[in-house]
Parts: sequence; C-alpha cells; structure tokens
Amino acid sequence: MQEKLREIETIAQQEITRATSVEELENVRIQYLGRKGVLTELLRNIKDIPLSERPLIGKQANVIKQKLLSSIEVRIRTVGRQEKRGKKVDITLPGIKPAVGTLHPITQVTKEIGNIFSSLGFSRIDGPEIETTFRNFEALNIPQDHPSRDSFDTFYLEKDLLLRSHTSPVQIRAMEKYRPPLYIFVPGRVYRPDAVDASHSFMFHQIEGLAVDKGITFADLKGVLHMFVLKMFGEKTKMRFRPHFFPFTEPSAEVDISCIICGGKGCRVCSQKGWLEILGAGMVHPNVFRSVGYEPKQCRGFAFGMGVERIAMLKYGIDDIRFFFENDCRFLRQF
Amino acid sequence: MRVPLEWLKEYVDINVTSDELVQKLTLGGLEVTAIEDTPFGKIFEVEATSNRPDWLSLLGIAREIYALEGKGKLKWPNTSLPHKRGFEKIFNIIIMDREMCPRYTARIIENVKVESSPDWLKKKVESMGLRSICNVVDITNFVLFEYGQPLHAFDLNKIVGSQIVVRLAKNGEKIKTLDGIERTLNKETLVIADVQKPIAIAGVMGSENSEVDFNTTNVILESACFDATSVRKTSRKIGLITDSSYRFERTVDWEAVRQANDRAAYLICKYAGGRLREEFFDSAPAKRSLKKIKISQQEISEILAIEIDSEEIRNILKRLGISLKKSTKTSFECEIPSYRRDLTIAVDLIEEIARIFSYDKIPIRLPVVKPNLELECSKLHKTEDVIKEIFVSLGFNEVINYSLTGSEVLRNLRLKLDDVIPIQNPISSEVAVLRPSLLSGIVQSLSYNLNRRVEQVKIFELAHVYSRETRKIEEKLNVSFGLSGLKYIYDWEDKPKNLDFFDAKGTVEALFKALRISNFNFSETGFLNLFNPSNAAAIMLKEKMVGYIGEVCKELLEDFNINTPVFVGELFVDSIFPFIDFNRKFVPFSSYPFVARDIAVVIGESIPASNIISVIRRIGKELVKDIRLFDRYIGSQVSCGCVSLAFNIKYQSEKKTLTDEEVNELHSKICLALQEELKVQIR
Repeated sequence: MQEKLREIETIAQQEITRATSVEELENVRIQYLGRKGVLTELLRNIKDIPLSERPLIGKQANVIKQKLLSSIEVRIRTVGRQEKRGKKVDITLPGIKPAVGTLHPITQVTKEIGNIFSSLGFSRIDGPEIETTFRNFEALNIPQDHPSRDSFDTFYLEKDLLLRSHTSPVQIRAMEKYRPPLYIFVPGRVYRPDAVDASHSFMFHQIEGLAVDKGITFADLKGVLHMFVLKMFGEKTKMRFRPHFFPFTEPSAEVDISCIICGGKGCRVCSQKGWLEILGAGMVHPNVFRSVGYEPKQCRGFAFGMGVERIAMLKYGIDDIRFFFENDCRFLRQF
Repeated sequence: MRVPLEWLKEYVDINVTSDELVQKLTLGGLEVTAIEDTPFGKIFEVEATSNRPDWLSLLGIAREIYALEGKGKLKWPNTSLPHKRGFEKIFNIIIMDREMCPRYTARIIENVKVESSPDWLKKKVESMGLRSICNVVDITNFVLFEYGQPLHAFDLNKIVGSQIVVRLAKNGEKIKTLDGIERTLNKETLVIADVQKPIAIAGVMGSENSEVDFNTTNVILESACFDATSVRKTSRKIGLITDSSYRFERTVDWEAVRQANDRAAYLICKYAGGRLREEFFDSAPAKRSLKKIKISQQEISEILAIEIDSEEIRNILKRLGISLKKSTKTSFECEIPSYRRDLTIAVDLIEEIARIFSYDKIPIRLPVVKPNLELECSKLHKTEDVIKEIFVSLGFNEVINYSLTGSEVLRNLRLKLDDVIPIQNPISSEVAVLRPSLLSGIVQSLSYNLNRRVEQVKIFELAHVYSRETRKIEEKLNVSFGLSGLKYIYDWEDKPKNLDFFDAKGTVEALFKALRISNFNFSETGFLNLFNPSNAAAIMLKEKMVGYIGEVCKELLEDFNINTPVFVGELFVDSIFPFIDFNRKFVPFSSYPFVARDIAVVIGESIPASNIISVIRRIGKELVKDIRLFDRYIGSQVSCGCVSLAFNIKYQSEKKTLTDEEVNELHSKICLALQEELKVQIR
C-alpha cells in the first residue's frame, strides 16, 4: 500500500509540474483528490488493510494529500500569472505613433525670446503690418529723401500706406496710447524689398523692445541686453557694444555676441571675426519722443531690435533663410 | 570706402598694428568690414554710416584715428593759394538757384600739359579701385578721396560763350555723360551748362563734350556744394550713383569746398605744368557761423551712468576738433566744426563722448521694470498661443507662408481679385498682391510636400490676411489648416485609411471644444468657390459665418500638381474671439452610474443624421448624457439607397441610479418617436 501511495504522489506531482493552465490543474486536483479521485478511492479501500497498519497509511495519505494541494496551489499561482500576461508580444515591431505636431521654428524662437523679456517684466504688444508712412519713417526721425531711408526701404500700398519695414511703428503707437513708465517688446512680421537669397528675404520677423521711464540710462540698456544674451545663448557668452548709427536712437550701438560656433576663435560662420552681430540698440532720440507727444527733456528711454530668423539660424544651425518659408515637412518636423 | 593704409599714414601717425587699428576703429564706431592684402599694401574696407559723410575721405578717417588715439599728430596738406577778385573779367559764372547750389567755386589753370599720370598718382588712384585716366582727371579724383570733396575739371576751350550757368534743366534737354550714355533730362535736374548745352549733371557726372582729354590746354576747376536732396533725387531718377553723388547726397563740408579747390589747383600746376590764374570765383565767400551746442557734465554722467570728470570731457571734445567757448567746470558750450553736420543736439555729443570714452567702460545695470497692467491682461495674445497649441496637440505642423502672393495663384483657386490689395513696387509678379486668404499658402504648402511624397500632411497657419472692405484696407487674423494623405501612417494593425472631410470637421470641433465655444453648426452653403460643393461646409456661430472647411475641387488641384484629395479649412479668429470663454468653472458630474443602450437606425441616405440626434435629445432630455455614433453601414444588409447608423446612448441621472425598467421605458419611447416622426427602421 505504501508503495502504491508513493507511486501516486510521484505521478501526480509530475502532472502538476507539466500543467500549463489553471484548468488543467483543477482537473489534476479532481482526478487525484476529488470525490472520485485516485487517492480518495485508495483510502476507501483502507478496510482491506490490517488494523495495525491503518494509522500509518492514513497519516501517509494525509501528508501526500496536503503536499499535492500545496503544489497545486503554488502551480496555480504561477500559471495564473502567466495566463494573465497573455501571449508573448514581439516587442521589436514598430510602435503606433500618433501624429506629433510642431510649432514653426520662428514661433518657437519668438516665444523663447519673448519669455526672456517677459521674465524681466516687459509686456508684449502687437500692431498692424500695414502702417502709415509717418509711423514707419517720420515719427522715427527718418525724414523723406534722406540716405538713411535706404536701409529701411519697403513696399508701398496706396496713398500713404505701406508694409512696415520694422516693428518700431508699434512702439510709436504704444507711446501714443500710453504714458511712461513703459516697458514693452514687440514681435512681428516686417517687409523689405530685398531679392530673396540664402540670407535675405523680403518678409521676415523682428522683435523690438522699448523702455521709457525716469532715470533710464545706457547702463540699463546694457544690463537688459546682457541678461537676454546670457539667457538665450548661455552663461559663457560674451557681449560687446559697438557705436553705430540709427536715426531713431542716440547714442546708438550694434551688439555682438561671442561666436556660438567657435567661441570667439574665428570660423566661417563669424567670418573669422569671433563675433556675431545680433542686435541694434540705443537711447531713444528726442525727436522720436517729440513726435509722440512726450516731452523730450523729461523723458529717457532705450530701444533695441533683432531679427528672429537670424537668431534662429544661429541657434539651430540653419544655413538658408528660405527654409523658413518653404514649409517642407522634413524641415518643420525637426523642431 | 577703401582706405589704403600706407596712404593714410601720410596724414596721421599710426603706431599700432593693422589688426589693432581695425579693432580700434570698429569699436569706435567705424566698422572695418574687410582687410585686403594688395599690391598697394593693406587696404581696409570701411562702412561709413549715413550720418558720417566726413568718413568718406582719407583726411576724415585720419581725424577719426587722431580722436580715438588721443595722441600722435595730424599731418594736414597745406596748400593755400591766392584768391584774387575779378574772376568775372575772364569768365562768367551765373548761379540761378542758390538753394540748389549754396556755394560754387572755380579756378582757371592755363597751358596744362595733359599726359598720363606720374606713377605715385596712378598707384593712389588705382588703389581706390579707379582706372587712371590722365594727370588732371586723376588729380581731381585724388583730391576727392583726400578731402571728400568732389571736384570736376572742364576743358575751358570746349565751353561755349565763356560762361557757366548753374541752372535747372529744361524738359527734354539731352546730355551724353562721361560713361557714354545719352540721357534725357527733366526740369527737376540741376545741371552745369554753357550758353548752348548742359556740360554736367550737377554733383553726379560731367559730359563727354566738355571733358578734359590729352589735347586740353586750359582747364576750369569746379569745387561746389549742391543740395543733398536734389542730387539724391536726380541720382535715383537716372539710376546713376557715383563717388561724387554719393558724397553730395550726404552733404559735403562747407569749409572743404575752397580747400579742395586750392589743393587740386596746386597739384595740377605742380604735376601737369599749368599756369595758375590767381582770380578765384566763390559764390559764397563769407565765413559761415558754426553750430553751438550746450552740454553739462551732469547730463553726460546721468545718461551714460558713468563717472567722468570735466578734465576728461574737455580732452575728448578737444580731440574731436570741438572748441569750447564759454564753459564752466561743469557745463560746456561747444563749437562744432563744419565737417560734423551730424552733431546738432546735446545727445549727439553724448554719443561722441561715450564712444571715445569707450562703450565698454559703461557699466551694466538692470532697471526696475514696471509692467503695464492693461497689456499684461490682454486676451488676444493668449488666444493666439492657445490656438496654436491646440493644433500642435492635434498633430499639425505650423507653417509660415509669405503674406504676398500673385494674382495667378488666386485665380487658380477661384478667389476674388476685386478687393485684393496690390503692392505699388513689387519685386516680382509672383509676390505682387497681399493675400486675402491663408488658403493659397496652405494649398501651396500641401502641394510642395505631397510632391515630395510625404504620406501624411497636416499643416496649419495662424496669420493675417488683407483686403479692402467698405473702401478701407483691413488686416484680419485667420487660422487655416490643410489635411491630405494617410490617416495613420504608423498603424499596421488596421486597414490603411485616408484623411477625409470628417477629419477636417473634427479638427474644428476639437478646436471649438478647447476654446469652450458651443452653439456652432455647419451649413451647406456660403463657402468659397475653391471647395467641392458636395464635400464642404460653412461654419456658423450665432448665424454668422466664421469659416469654412471642405475638399478642394479636384480640377483646381491640377494647377498645383496634386493628384490626391486635399481638405482645407479657414476660420476668422477676429470673429470667433468674442465667443471664446476664458473662464473655467467646474461642473460637477453625476455620482450615479450610466446605463448604455445601442440603437441602429436605418434611414434614407439623403436624410441628415442630425435629425435622429435631435429626436433622441428631445425625447430623452437631460437623461441622455451622450450620443455616440459608432458605425455607419451601407451594404447588402440594408435596402438600396439607405444607410444604417448605429448609436450608443448613455442614460444617466443626476439624482439617482436609473433602474433597468426606467431605462427600457425611455429607450422604447425614443425608438417609437424615431419610427413615427422620421419613418425610420430600427434594427
């Protein structure tokens, strides 16, 4: 009898180990331990065993029963986990990517620049692209028939309307509408009749800024632009101010940054100079204050401006301005 | 302007290397854009800004170096000749318009030997990029570059009537200029003329028939001042810019007019063997008073935020050639030299002081910024940013197209040309009008990408369009999008599908949901002619049309080289803006579960699905939480000309859990109503 019991235990354990589903294990349990199970049947025939052996057999049978139940339980847990996980998937098949949209790189750079000036406390203001000759030129101290007008030449519409050649007219509008203190920045599209090539476009984007307040100095202008340069291009970037001429500012300056490609050693991008010109700036000319009805003797202000495409081309290593307006998806999706 | 270094050294001491000099000049405001090594030595290319005409001469640059360095010597050419009266006895000069010609000087040199120039002169002229012509002409060019004062030498014997008149031309008068081109003049052009004909376009170029050649024996040398605006207008009109006109339009130095005349006459006599007549013609010999500007030490230190003592200020002003008249320790009355017409007000002097002091030494400070509350709270910027973000989240790529387009593109899209605004001076016919709609750009961008075999194109643009409405030119903000190609590029689990009208409709619905705009609907009419009328809709908000979506007519796509279906939409942001709800308010949702029931309705294909939905809503009232279409079936299981629409309706109450009986009752009511009112079949 003992032999028989041991045999049954071994076979049952094998079947338990071989089972691959919860259902199979349930069958094994019924088969061996159920009402009509092998072990149960065997124990029914215990009356055929001499009395003296009965307690031993009984104990052995119970032990085996417990062992099998335990094995079945453990195996059920393992197999159950496997079943819940399902069939093994080929993880190297491509994922199903939903379409990912992108903002145009010009929008992204405009946002980044705008955020820097917002963080310094400047407010954003917008204005129309169709402007009057007065706000585009005369109000900015650019008289008619003057050589300085050449650099700002633009497209004319009818009567005395034109497409603005810089975003400065919006600053004029702001000063006409609000009194100082005024700290604003203006992003927007501008137009100049240049033939289109790798570095010129007849339509491009600018961001200009203006600060008018009591006690504004040239040092404040330097400070604001320095902060912009560090935040935009990194803390290691150097900045230098060079005297220049703009009809609407005096003193005027062009602002360079140390070349972001070669760090200032000289390379093709910076034409071996080590410096890249990125901004024009200066103290607002008294004639500009006069044209908006501010009293020049009581006002001080500074203004600055930059080309967004230029900044984007430097930052992203884009070598042809035409990419921005071709809208090739292979270009747009890189940003 | 070209600046040969060796030549420059004749006028000023230069004790630094050429690289150091480039740095000094550039950081002082005179940008050196190139350095060339040439057979004439090192030559700088400098960019003189339009406010510094005095930099258009080598003496001017020498003065600048002297001002920046603060030491060394200026070596000025010293040629002063006699200026005897009585010129009119030998020759007559009449100035008809003193405003157009404020000063005219002339001198006669007889018995010149016109030959090719001596080597030193040839080299100097060639180093400036000109060809050597002959000694007399080369000298006039030499002095032009030296002093920045344009001069002209006429062959005296070619001038008819011993008379020069400075006058306006007559309409139709002709002149053959030195470049061999015959030009017709008009009455706005200032000319130099003899009794018969014009012999020069004043300030721009002389005529062939009065030029000095190898047979010339007597020369009359002109050095004058012509009105800047007049020369500029003439130069632009005839399309001719010369070294002379360039300088006149920026205004020449009054004082240099006479000096340059003397210098050239001296050189001609020395190197061309002429005999100088001592009589000198000067239409305005009186000394002109110089401009005075007052400036204080306080202003300077305040505006520049620097500490600068009055001794240093004096030094800088002196180096700049500015004499101090009545001055105290802290305030200065400055007399501005004649060649600095750009210095007119105090801030001009402040810039001079700043750049000689060095911009680098000005400190860096951050101002205390005061934001403008009205601007900070503006909703329009937020709206633009939000709209862009919504499109990005829907998987669209933002494009930026030119605001200008051509009439041909507009015609190809059947867009109306009457209210389109033209550019007066376009650079080409392809960009000669302002776009009235963003769709032309969107279709072009779709075409560009589809032609490069991009399998899925989803693009959008938020920008301005321009048109004339009620006689005024208006600038409006629109947003537009385009869809074409596969719905899902990467989905290998399902059958491939293409983007269609409902993707465009869904885009608008998603956009309006995100902007919390409700009460909009789609109408079958009112959209543009570029749309396929069977597959398009106008978007209506409170009975006003605020945009349109649809398939672009297949016939039009040919002009754009597109042969797959293309869906576009455009919305008028200005019209939508007032309906956007910027407030967010939490609406509590029901804590009771919903019960869902499906219903499949068979209707005629031409019946709008919205009819079914309105009935369901009307009967179900607030207990119908959601109606979702999950299938639209046309096929063998449904009669011909009919379609089966399967909806999943979610029933839910705010107040309690609905029982099965309650739901069944309501659902039956709805089915009944559909059958009775719309004569539909329920599957």
